[in-house]
This record gives sequence, C-alpha cells and structure tokens, in this order.
Amino acid sequence: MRTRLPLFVLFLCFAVTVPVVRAADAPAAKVEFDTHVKPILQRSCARCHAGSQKKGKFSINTRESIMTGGSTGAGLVPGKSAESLLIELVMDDDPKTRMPAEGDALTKGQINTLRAWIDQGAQWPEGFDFGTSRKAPLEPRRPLLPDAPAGSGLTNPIDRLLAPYLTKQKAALGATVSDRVFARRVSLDLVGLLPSADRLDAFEKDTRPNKRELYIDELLGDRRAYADHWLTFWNDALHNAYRGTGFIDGGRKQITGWLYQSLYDNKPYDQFVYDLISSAPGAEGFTYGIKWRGVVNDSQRREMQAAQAISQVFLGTNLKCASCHDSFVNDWKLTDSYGLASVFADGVLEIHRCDKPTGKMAEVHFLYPELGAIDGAAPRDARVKQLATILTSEKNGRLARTIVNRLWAWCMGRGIIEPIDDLDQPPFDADLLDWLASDLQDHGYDLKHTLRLICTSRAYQAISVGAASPDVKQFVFRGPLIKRMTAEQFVDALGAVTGQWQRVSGEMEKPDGRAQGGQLAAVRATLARALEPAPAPGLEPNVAPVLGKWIWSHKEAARSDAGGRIFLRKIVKLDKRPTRATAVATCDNEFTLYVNGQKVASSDNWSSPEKVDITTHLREGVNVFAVEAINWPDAETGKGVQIKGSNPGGFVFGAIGFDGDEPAWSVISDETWVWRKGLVKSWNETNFDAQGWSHAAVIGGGNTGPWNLASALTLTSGDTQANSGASIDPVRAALVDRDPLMQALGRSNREQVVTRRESIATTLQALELTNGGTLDTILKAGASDWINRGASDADTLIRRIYASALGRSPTKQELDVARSLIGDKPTADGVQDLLWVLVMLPEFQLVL
Amino acid sequence: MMIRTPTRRDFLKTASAATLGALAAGAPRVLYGADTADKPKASADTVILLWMGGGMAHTETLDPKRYTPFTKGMKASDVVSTFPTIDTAVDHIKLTQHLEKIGSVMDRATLIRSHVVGDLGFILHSRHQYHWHTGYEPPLSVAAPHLGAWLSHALGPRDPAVPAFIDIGQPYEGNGEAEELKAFQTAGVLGTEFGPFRIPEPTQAIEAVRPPAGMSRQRFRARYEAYRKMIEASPIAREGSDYQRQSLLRSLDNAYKLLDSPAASAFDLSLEPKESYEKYNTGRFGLGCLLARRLTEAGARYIEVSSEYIPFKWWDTHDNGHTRLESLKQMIDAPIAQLVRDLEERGLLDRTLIVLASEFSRSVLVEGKQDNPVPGQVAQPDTINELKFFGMHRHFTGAGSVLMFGGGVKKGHLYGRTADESPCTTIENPVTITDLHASIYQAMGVSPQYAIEIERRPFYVTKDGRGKPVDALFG
Repeated sequence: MRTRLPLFVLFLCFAVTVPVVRAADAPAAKVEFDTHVKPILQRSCARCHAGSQKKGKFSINTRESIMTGGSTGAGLVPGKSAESLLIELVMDDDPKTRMPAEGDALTKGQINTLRAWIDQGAQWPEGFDFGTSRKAPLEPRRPLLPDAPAGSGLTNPIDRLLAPYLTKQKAALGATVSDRVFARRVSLDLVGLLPSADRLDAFEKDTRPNKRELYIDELLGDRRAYADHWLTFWNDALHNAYRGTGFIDGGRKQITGWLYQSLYDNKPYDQFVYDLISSAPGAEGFTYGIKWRGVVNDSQRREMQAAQAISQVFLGTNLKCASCHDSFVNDWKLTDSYGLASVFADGVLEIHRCDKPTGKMAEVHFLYPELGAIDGAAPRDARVKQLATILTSEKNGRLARTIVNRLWAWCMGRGIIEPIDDLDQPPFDADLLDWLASDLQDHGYDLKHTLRLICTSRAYQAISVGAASPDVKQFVFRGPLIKRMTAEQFVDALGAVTGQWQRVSGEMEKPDGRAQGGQLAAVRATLARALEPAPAPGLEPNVAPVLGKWIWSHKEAARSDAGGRIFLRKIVKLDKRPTRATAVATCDNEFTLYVNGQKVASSDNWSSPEKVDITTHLREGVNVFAVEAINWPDAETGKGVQIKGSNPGGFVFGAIGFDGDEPAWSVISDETWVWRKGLVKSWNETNFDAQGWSHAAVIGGGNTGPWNLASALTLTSGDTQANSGASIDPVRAALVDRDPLMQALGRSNREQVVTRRESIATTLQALELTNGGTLDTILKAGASDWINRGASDADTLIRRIYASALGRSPTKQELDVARSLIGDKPTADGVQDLLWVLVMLPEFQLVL
Repeated sequence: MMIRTPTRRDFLKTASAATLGALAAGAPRVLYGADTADKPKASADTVILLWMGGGMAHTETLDPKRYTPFTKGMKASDVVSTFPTIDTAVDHIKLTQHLEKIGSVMDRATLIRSHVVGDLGFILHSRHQYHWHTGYEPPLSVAAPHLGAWLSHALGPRDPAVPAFIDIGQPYEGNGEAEELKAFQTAGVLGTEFGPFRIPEPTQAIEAVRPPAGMSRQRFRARYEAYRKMIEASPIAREGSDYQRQSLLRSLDNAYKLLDSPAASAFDLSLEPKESYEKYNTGRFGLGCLLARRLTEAGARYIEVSSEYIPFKWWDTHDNGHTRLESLKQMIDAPIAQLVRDLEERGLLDRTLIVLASEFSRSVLVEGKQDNPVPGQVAQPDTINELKFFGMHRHFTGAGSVLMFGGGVKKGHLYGRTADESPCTTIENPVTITDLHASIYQAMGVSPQYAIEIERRPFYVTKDGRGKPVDALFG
C-alpha cells in the first residue's frame, strides 16, 4: 500500500510504529536535515568534531568544512554517497578505524539516512553552524515605542510594537472577541476561574468604555483568587510538592507558605527570585532540592539540582546536559554547571564527568560573569546572597525577558521565544520582548503590571487561533492560541458549575512528621495575617520562635527506652491572663496534656504534633501544665507492641501567650519540668505538692532525631489560634493534593521542574472523565444541587446550567438535545448527564 | 475469545489525535530506532511482567542452596537457604520447596540467576523499583518513562480497544511510599497518552471499563449520543477545526469505544469458568495473573502484575523470612504455572514474553554489597534462637533471579551462576538491568537505542542507549 501522506502522518508512524515507513533498501524518501541528519551528526560526531573540537582536523561545523574534510581527505561528495569518506568511515568493519571512535557504531538505518542525505545533495540549512549556537544579549534593551499607525486608535504599547511586525509578516489579527468570550478568557488566564453567569450578564450590560480594563483590575485585585491560581504555575516551576519523593527522609522541604504569601502580596519579581536563591525563611526548599536516600549520580546532587533549576526557571537556559559533560545543545561546559552548583555547596565539589570523578575541583563561578563576581572564599550564606544579588541586578535583562516571555506564553498560548526555557532562541519580535522586559524592570518587577499590559492589548483580545502548524520556524503571531484548561482550571470550573469544590482532609490541614501536607495551614496563615490589624508602631513584630526541647525521664531516651508511662509537671506564674495563648505538644508514643487540671489535648501520633488554643484554661497567678506521657510498649496499660531494634521515647512542648498582638511569654519543655512514675491523685492540679519528683532529662533540642519535627513544633508571633479561623472556602484545586482526575489531566508530581503542561487530550484522560469516580461523584452531587435549587421548569433549568457552564444561552437545537436528556420533569440522572455533556464540550474545556 | 488484528485504519483512528497534537504541542519526537532498518526482528508481541515488589530472596526461591533447617542456637552465617531443594521438569534446574508447580513448567523457561541490580547506596525500595522500571536511577532532571510506557510509545496498542500499558495489583491508598511508587508508574516525558491504565484490584477490573457505578449501559450510550448531537448543535463547533478540539473529541470517542467494546469483557473475571478461576485464585496476585492472561488474549501490549509493594509487607521480609516465604511462594506458584500453561494452550506463549523480577534480593547478613555495607540495616543476631530471625532479612544487590517464559526465550535454559556460600553473590554472566531491558526491548522489536528528543537532547529507552541484549537468553 503506498499512499501519499502529509508529513505529519509520517511522523505519526515514527512515533508509534505501524507498518513500514521507509524500507531499508527501498528508494529513500526525502531526508530532512533538521529532522533526520542533524540528530545523527550531533549525537555521534559532535563531541570530537564540532565547535572547537577538530579531531583529525575534521570539523562538521558547516557543510563546507565537512566537504573539505580532515587529515584523511574530503568528507563528502554531494550526490555521491558511495564516494564519500564519511560513509566509508562509518561503515568500516574494523572497530579500530570505524567512526565514531567513541560510542556505538551507527545503525543501518542511520547510515541509510546519511547516504540518502548525501545522494540527495547534502542539503544544509542556510547559515547553520554546529560551532556557533546563538547567544541572546544579556543587557536590557529599551527599544523605542513606535507610533501607532495613523487612524488605528491603538494605544497599548504591545499593539504599537506589534503593528510593524504584522505589516512585515503580511498578517492581521482577527476581530476583537465579544464581551462574553473576553471575560471568560481573561478570568481563566488571570485567576483560573469561570466568571459567574451574573457577572457575565453585568459585564455585558456595562456601558463604560473602559469596562475591560476595569474587569482586568478587578481580577488582578482579587489577591486570594490570584494567589490560588498562580500557585499552580509556580508550584510546577519551583517543583514544590505538598507530598512526594524525598520527604521520607527529611530530604525535601515545602515552600508553600512562603510562596502563597509572596503571590498574595504580589511580591516584586526580583525580590521573589532573590528570596528563592538566597534561601529566605520559608523559601529554602527551592534550592534544597530533593535529597534521595543513598548514593546519587553526581550530576543530580542537590547543588546541581539547584543550578539546573535556577538556570532553567529564571534564566531560560539549560544546564542539564552540562551537568554530565560539556553540553552539545548549548555552549555551557561541565565547569559552568559545577561553578554555579558550588555556590550552594558546603565544601569544594569534585567535578564528575558522566558520574566519574575527574580529580579536578570546581570553582565558584556564575554563568554570566559580566554581571558580577561571587567570592568563592566567602561562606555559603554570603555566596548565595551574592548570586541572588547579581542575578536580580538591573543589568541582567535575561531575568526579565525570561519571565515576561513566560507570562506572554501563559496568556497567548505560545511564547515570543519558543521553547520558553531556551532564551537563546530567536524571538519572533525582539523589540516586543525587550520592551516588555524593560517595562517590567521600570515598573518595579510588578508581574501584575505586565499581565495587565498583555490583557488590555488588542492583540490579546483578538479571536484565538488554533495551533495548526507544529513548525516553529513558520510561526507567525496572529493572536492568542486556543489553550486547554489545566487540570486545576478544569476542576475549579467544575466547582463553579456544580457547586462542588474541593474536599479537605486532615493531612492537608496539618503537616505530618515528614513535613508533608499541611498546605492549607500555610494558606490560612497568609489569609489570617491579611485579616489581622497591623501591629501598632514601635512594637517588635517578632519574638524569637518558641521551640521546646525533647525531654524524658532519662538522657538516653532519644535512642532507646524500655517503654512505660511517666507523669510530667511544670508550674508557671502569669501576671495576668493572656489575650490569646497557643500550645503545641507531641510525644513518642502517646500523651494527654492538662492545663490546670483540664484535659486540653491528647494524641498517639507523634509525627503530627497537636496544636491547641489554651487561652480559656489559663488564669492569673499559678498555672500548671501536666502531662501523662507513654512510650510504648507500656506493660502497665498493655499499649503498644515490642518493636525490633532501638525504641526511642520523648515528649516536647511549647506554649506562647499574647497580650493583645504582642507576644508576652512562652513556656517550653526543658529540665525545669519534673516527673515521676506511677499515678497519684490530683497530680495534674495546681495545688498538688510535687515534692520528691525528679527533674526531667533533656534528650535534645526541638529538632532532635529520630523525630526531626522542628517546623511543626515551632510557635511564632504569627502563631495564634486566630489563624485557624481564616476561612478558605471555596477550596481551590491548586490547594489540595493531587487526585486521580487531576493526575490524568496532567498535574505532575513536581519531582522535576515543569514549565508547561501537556495540552493534548488523551484516551487515558478521556477514560477518567468518562467513568472515573472523582468526576462522577462531583457531577452526581452537583445534579442534586441544581434540582434542589428548584427551577420551575426544564427549560429554565437548562438555560441556567448553560449560563453557568458556557456563559451563554443554548441555541434552539441545543435546547432540544438537552431536553431529550433531562426530560420534562428533570431527574437527577438527567441533569447529571447534561452536566457531563456540557463539561466535556471543547467549548468548555478550551480557553477560546 | 476473538483476537482481532488491528488494521492500519483502526490504528490511525486511535493514535492520530494524540500524535498530531503532540507534535503541535512540541511533545518529544522520536530520534532513533524508528527506522525499519534499526528495528530488531520481534519475537514477542506482549510483555507480562510479574513484579515481586519488596525484594525476593534468590536463595529462598529460584536459586536453591544448602538447606539449613531451623535449630535453636544456629549460627546466622551458616544459613544460606531455609528451604529444601526440589527437582523440576528440567534435570539441571532445581528450585526451592513450595515452587513445585512452577517447577513443572521449567521446560518452557529461561532462568537468569545472575541479575545484578544497581548499587544505590542506602537501599530504598521505591528508588530501586524506579531504577528497575525505568532503567534510570533517580533523581533525574527529566521524568523517566516506565518500561511499559516506552513499549506503548514505540509499538502502540496491539488492539486499539485495549490500553497498551496495563498495571495490575498495586493500590496506592494508605501506602507510606505511594508518591514514590507513582513517580515511576508513569509515562514521564512521553506524555500521559502512554501512561498506565491502572487496575489496583483485579476482581474490580471490570469497573474500570464500564459505565460509572449505577449507570445503565443504555443511559451510558444515550449520554454519549446526546454529546455527539450537542457537538453538532454547538455554534462553536463550526468554527473550523483545531488539534485540541479534535483531540478532545477523538479521545472521548476512543474511551467510549473501549468502554462499550466486546474487548472490555476481558476485564471481567466473573466471566471466567469457575474451575479455571479457582486454579488462579491464590488472592489478588493470582487473580492478577488470570486477568493478565485474559488481557493478553484481548490484545494488551504490556501488562504488569504486582504482588504489591508495601513497606515491611509481602516480599519485604525484615522478619520471619522463612515463615513468610512459604506463603508467598504458595501465592505465586500455581497462578504463574497456570498462566504459562494457558497461554501455551491458546498458542500465545510463543509471542508473549513473561518476566518475573524483583528490585533486589535478600541475604541473612549482607546488606547492599559485600564490600559496601549499608548503615542502619535491620538487627540480626549472630546466633539464631527464635524462628523470627530465621530467613533473609537484609537487602542484597549482588545477585537475583529472573524467570522468563515464552516470547522467544530458550526453553529449559539456565543462565548465570551464584556462589554457594553466603551471600551467594553472582560469579558468572552478570546481567544488569540495562541489559535485561535491552533483551526485553529487542524481543519486542524495539531497538535498545530507541530514543526521543527532549529538551534538544536524546533520551534513550535503555540508559544512554547502551543496553546490550543478552543473546544467550533467546533461542
């Protein structure tokens, strides 16, 4: 069977292998240099014969240099593969003389490709040179803003910049979209939510000429919705997971609290990056990376992960290749990667090439020395600050270019430069990119400013276009591309249509012993701070964090203890009752905490410390904290079983009291506590005489292993019970753990940096959407909600659901189909099926 | 059950949406190995991986050694195997007690006794499992695809109505290492299209391929029919075509086809005759084997049946090794033998490659490698006074057994050898994960150098494209 197929179908066959595309000895199809030949040369020849490498005086940098050849003669004769030395050498039977000298011999298929390429004239893209990869300028550039074309009425700088580009490309933007399409698009792009039916109606009826700008301001002004939405983007980019690989050994740290606060505050981007690189409190996890138990390939040691992530995310360049060997996709050398990694190292790193030690030691060095130097002799803390300073300096135009390109890609579906992680690729319009980048700098790195600029442009508001051609080189900007909702956008859109938002579990409220989960507590803290009145001037906003010590009856308990029950007491005298007071405690294995004889907390899960409000239990004068603590196994109560090996035991406590907003006092577990074995009457009351009790032994500081719970045990001035009162309803998809539905729709596990989600619908996703439990449950509950809201008749119900899901009325035909589903008297099943049909529509799932 | 050969047309219908879109979206393209001339001749169409998660001790199962029965006060260093040796259908191949049924089909098997897995320092199960399933050691700067995802990518589905990559018997709920397991049970950079179709519980497999609970088939069909009509009626649908829209429609169409196809009945274990069902029924793993047989008949490309990994459970025997191994062997013995016989009877064994493997083995005393002990290993007294200390309780990476059937492997063949004394390490023909994978890929007609381009660099199906098939395994 021989059919003429367009090129993309041929690709398809490559990708998934069906019958024959090109038989070995059949007349070869047209060979493309970029697609077929370049990868072979790059992989098998470039290491010794490209760039400055010219082994045997042979270089593959250009077509001419290959034709000229090296010490053994001309490399190739266009049109005549049989006479070309290149072919002869790769086909040589003798492994000693065969090329490539290192690595595997070429396969038959690869040789055939090279032969066909030569026979077809050895075509070479004009100007292509293996030896020079393009390097984008580093300095910021402020191109002049062109005047708007006469009579165009364009005012937005983006439109003025694009006008000459579009003229040159003989391209035009589509018409401006309707209010409804615009509102849906911009709301999904900026805050990730569908506008409600009422909001759409109001927006459409609004007659103010600047209503679109006002709507954009309204969206960007919703700090909560903005933070919820962009949390997804940054969790992906900064590989911040709520749970997952690495936490098991304390080998990973969340930055959720810092990140949410930063987004909520719209922290200037230079400061945002500075914090991340310099390990500001709460942001340490980003450069900490993931530490796996065991021996790790040197190219993935944590310092290298930091170097790779920083270069990819903030600078749009790839150090992954150059982490094992000198790169062949760009100019970075192994020493560049190690140089940057060394900034984060506690000692001197030995350079490893492909995981083999080279004996050479790395020196601290930054990729772009023209921005400034880092003092290799300075301590780590100073070095990371130096790096953060020079990377965020005004001279570094690349920082701003990289982020404005990402924001552009987010809104427009495709970057001004693609791939968005390789800023050395040519932009489709350099003036546009450079102007936006400088403008961001000029506006104090305010990302909302750039987003506002993009969304208010005529270009953004043009009718969207389908991503028809995969060919990057032929790309011409004609308006935003149609985007697919992310998993989080889709799930939140379901929430809006069905009223079923995300369910919260205890794990999401409270971090466990591995510091996993608890992301909602981090969010609440931000929201509570926002609700709190600002501290009065002159007050110290922070006291030293309160962190108890681990105590037990004897010093060895952190390592091993026989098990059993002890009773602990601590008396404190308070000048007055605090306005608020919070206590935190945990015990390996079980405890009950009493304040002045009242039970206030108990737990048998040491990994998850209990935090409680003790305000009402305290009084002026003498107060007693009393604890019944058990280390399993406890022969007396029969609790717990004998486990193998060592059997640590310990108790830890902290409390903080506030006078107004000011932290007034703290109490921690330490050697001043007293203990005894065996229960006695009234032992937990204030008037009990603890004569004869022994002083507790401190077995370690708050972060002592094996528990390592400092983060969950620390109380700060922001740690008031009022925090937990902050409502975060509705709970958005970005805040909860990844469920099967979101996983199917492309939410990653955040083990690696992700800067773009898959945009393609797959069969596995469709299966999850067709019979998966998560969606089914949401729709079922949503359907009964719709019925309970009591629409008078089927048509009204259908119209309301349409307005909610698609932001428009159904056409007559659509109404007919919907009626056939739900019947005259709507049933829960019928409504559920209608909801399913609507949320499956491309119109629903795509951002048009 | 009917086995239908997919036509090219079928195939395009299934795959083109994804691939087309993948191209447009900049998904990885194939760099090497797609060329016909580079493809090895396939000796198998389907792989069934029987996964013994947790670390199956070789000397207690497929590589018998001197039997030392339990006696109080015995020296731990004397123990190399806690089970007697048994004969099999092949004179020169012996196994340990409780594997009699597998023994009876050893004349169809190739047994590797020299599988040497990576030495990753501290021995974390999920990390070794990641390594075994992807061929790459984590952490990595890109997400490595699972063996099944690679095969799915390179070969596509065998039957468009059956997912190419099916993962049976590993629930995640309540598992302390769930996220670590999910990290490699994925298509990674290849994209979700090639990811696993998960069936944690074989008896409930049918739930995965039928309408949601409580929805009749009639209603299910009507819902989709209404959907098609709604697409027709939608004013937006007429605004030209676009790959994303196409891919949405096509993917949903595929899902409905699968859920409403006769092939879906392969997932329904209640359709299996009772007698045959009971032959497999040793619990979840046994029924997983039965499901694997049914799905092989229906046209799956890659099936993994896991005995389930849970820290300290199943094969993760940190105590009571001997006692626990007895029941574990009873759990796998009958179903595996039956799987081999059933596939053979149906004429499918020759084209189905069955591979039984584990992330590492275990030893009484040595943790890691002999010359590279691991800190923090479980306590093991030098003198054994209690039965609970009798068994292989420490992780060992120096040797391991891999059992293979069908798919072109030699019959009644033994490859590799281990020492007779503790820790019974490999002394002949070591087979690495990379080379074992290369052998599996080669049998499936995929070049060990098959590669895609990701971030402008090649990413290979075997580590750095260096896998060398072990030709001696195939006959």
